[in-house]
Amino acid sequence: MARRVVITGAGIISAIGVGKEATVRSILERRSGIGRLRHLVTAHSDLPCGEAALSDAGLKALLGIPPEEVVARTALLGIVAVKEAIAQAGLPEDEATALVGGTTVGGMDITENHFGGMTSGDAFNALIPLHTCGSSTDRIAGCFKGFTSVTTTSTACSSAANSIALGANLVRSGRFDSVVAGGSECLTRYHLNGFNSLMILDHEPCRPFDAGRAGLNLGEGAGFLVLEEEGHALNRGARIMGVLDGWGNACDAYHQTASSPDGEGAFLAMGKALAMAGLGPGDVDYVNAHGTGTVNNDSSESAALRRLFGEAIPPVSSTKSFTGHTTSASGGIEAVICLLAMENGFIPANLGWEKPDGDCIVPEHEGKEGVSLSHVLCNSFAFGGNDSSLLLSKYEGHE
Amino acid sequence: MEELILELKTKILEALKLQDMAPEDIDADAPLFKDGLGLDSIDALELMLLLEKNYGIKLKSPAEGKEIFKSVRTMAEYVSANRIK
Amino acid sequence: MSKDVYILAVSQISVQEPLTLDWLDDPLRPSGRYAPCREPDFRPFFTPMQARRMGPLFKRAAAVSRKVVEEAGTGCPEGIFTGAGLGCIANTWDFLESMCTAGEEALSPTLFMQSTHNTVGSMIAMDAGCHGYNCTYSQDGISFESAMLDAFLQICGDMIGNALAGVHEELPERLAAFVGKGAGGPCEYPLSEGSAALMLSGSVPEGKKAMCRLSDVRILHRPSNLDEVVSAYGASSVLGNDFFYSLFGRSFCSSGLGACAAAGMVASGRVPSVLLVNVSGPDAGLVFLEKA
Repeated sequence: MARRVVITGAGIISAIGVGKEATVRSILERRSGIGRLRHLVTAHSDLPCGEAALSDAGLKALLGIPPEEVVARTALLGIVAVKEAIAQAGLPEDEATALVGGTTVGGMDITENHFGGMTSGDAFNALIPLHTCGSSTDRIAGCFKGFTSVTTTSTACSSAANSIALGANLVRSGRFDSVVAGGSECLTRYHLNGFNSLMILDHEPCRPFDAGRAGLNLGEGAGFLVLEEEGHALNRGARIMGVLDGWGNACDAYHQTASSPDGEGAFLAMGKALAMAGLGPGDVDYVNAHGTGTVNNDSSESAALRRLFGEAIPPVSSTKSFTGHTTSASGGIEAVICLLAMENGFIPANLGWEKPDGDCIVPEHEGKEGVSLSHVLCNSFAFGGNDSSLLLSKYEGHE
Repeated sequence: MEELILELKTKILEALKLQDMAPEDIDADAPLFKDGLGLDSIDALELMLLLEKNYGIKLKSPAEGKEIFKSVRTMAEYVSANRIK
Repeated sequence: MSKDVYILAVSQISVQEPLTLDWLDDPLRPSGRYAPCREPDFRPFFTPMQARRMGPLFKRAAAVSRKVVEEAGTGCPEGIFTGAGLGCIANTWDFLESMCTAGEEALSPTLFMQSTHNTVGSMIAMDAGCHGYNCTYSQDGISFESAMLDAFLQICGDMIGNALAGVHEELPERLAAFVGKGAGGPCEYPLSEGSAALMLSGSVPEGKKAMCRLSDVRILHRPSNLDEVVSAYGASSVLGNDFFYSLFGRSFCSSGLGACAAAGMVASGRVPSVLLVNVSGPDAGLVFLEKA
């Protein structure tokens, strides 16, 4: 019998708030965080983005980090979410645990802001190592005492989902009794321009699955979970927030940026997550879609959903209409939103949707309250066809 | 027109990193995408950049490029009619 | 956790002779500040259309990956586990430089598309048509051990039967000085680059011979008792950073290349077991190989 992976803590920060309470409030009030940039300096300031409200200085003040220390914004956002997750779980400070981060941007904000200085003289040499993904996760770990293993997954927009899957493997295999896993990513000029060069950024707030959708809006933030072996959590009297019953990872192996028309990778990833959980499509009460708002993703994901669920597609929505596409962090942020939805009995709205598209499923655009959700799927897909899906369940007691 | 076609072929090979091909390997009338040269949606974006950088032609969306990028000849015709540099 | 994991095949491209371990008895000792890869002839591997978007990093990664999959005879691997510390740094750099110097207009989508760390791992999957598990790990110098750990645990846990694990780094000459500035001044080993691929399996296919057993993989953060952890393995040979830096130069893939060399040493009977100990900043990675 495989060790069961439960969730005892969750932390979140995004454009719709710092922490779980603020996030739930924004979602129930249908308040999107997508709007004008206030912190990132770019020539493309006309592009709507989901920027976290706090500046770097504000985040450092919140975390008690000296203002003069250079810290990647990705790490700052991550620390906020990891702190909230660990505090909720009430993990002992000295518990030997692992941190699995997920990021692609890493310290790119530092590199792009100091590029001239870094390339010409030696004054900024100490900042060069901060560029990497790994250094950003190491910086997060540095704020805590218990991490005896640290690593980072980097699969672009599915990084956090894969970090949660790896974290779950570390628990399931018996390597650790508890693991903190998720992802964080800040906005940078680098990837704003990158997505802009691919011409997949909408100049209006995004409209996932809508017939008139014209691309995604970038966002930023972090989402982390405390994953724990069930018995370990019960023994120390922790409150169990949910269960990670299954995870699936598959490769679309179709194109570096485009998803296949039949959504093969997405279909396989969702199917694997269900199979591991021992569930069928009919057991799924809600799907938090990858739903970026690009023409290609939403039609490909819809094809995969139709293949998996047939006519009986459960309620689907994309919370990227609230947060923007938080890229590497999205799997973590959306997993936390799924847990909050199960806990509080709501289905998040899919803002901006107006007109059905024959190529797309019809999302649960208005959202719902007062529902009971037992099992939800959370999708994260990425460049390179690195598609992953997490199956989260309500905790119904020890089986 | 033939001169512009040759110029475009050279620029296409450079922009799309087709180092191992020569301009004469591209048939000016053959389709650039799918069955012809086998280019994809990212190449279409690179071709749009090529028009912008070299001829000052700015297309609004990849959809607009569909007719223009049918072959090197259709590209050349569009460039000579619309170039501003 | 009692399941055996074997290394069926390894391949490398580095400062040593590429795509072979024949140099093990008489290796080069790279010196100076910068030691690039020795490239094999890639023409037999790729058609011009396939090669057109492939920079050196992709060609090396695809070549070593194809080689181990073919040698192991397992067919399409059930999982692809890729370490990438700096990722596609050449494309990243070119996009960044053009954005920071020429401005935020007319930037190349191809450079951006091929600048994420998972570009290599997903390209390997596309190259082989593999829809299985696919993940990329980026933890500076222990990216390789992170990839190996996930692969090892998934084979042990019967989630997959075999795995292609590897690590791939590039360092074009134009970036060597910049990366060197960040790496903290002169060092006795040159900065380098390379690709390593290993085919892991939970069983040895009929008619094949395993190179060695992969007995354990661990990653540690700020270990206070590394010496104790190391001696508890009782390995006949403990090889540290000096071992693989002296053979392959310094890069985030050096320990992966070192693992290929160590697998070759165990396979040929030079040593019965090797513990590779890789210390990278606050992190450490351990890979334990024993004779099959």
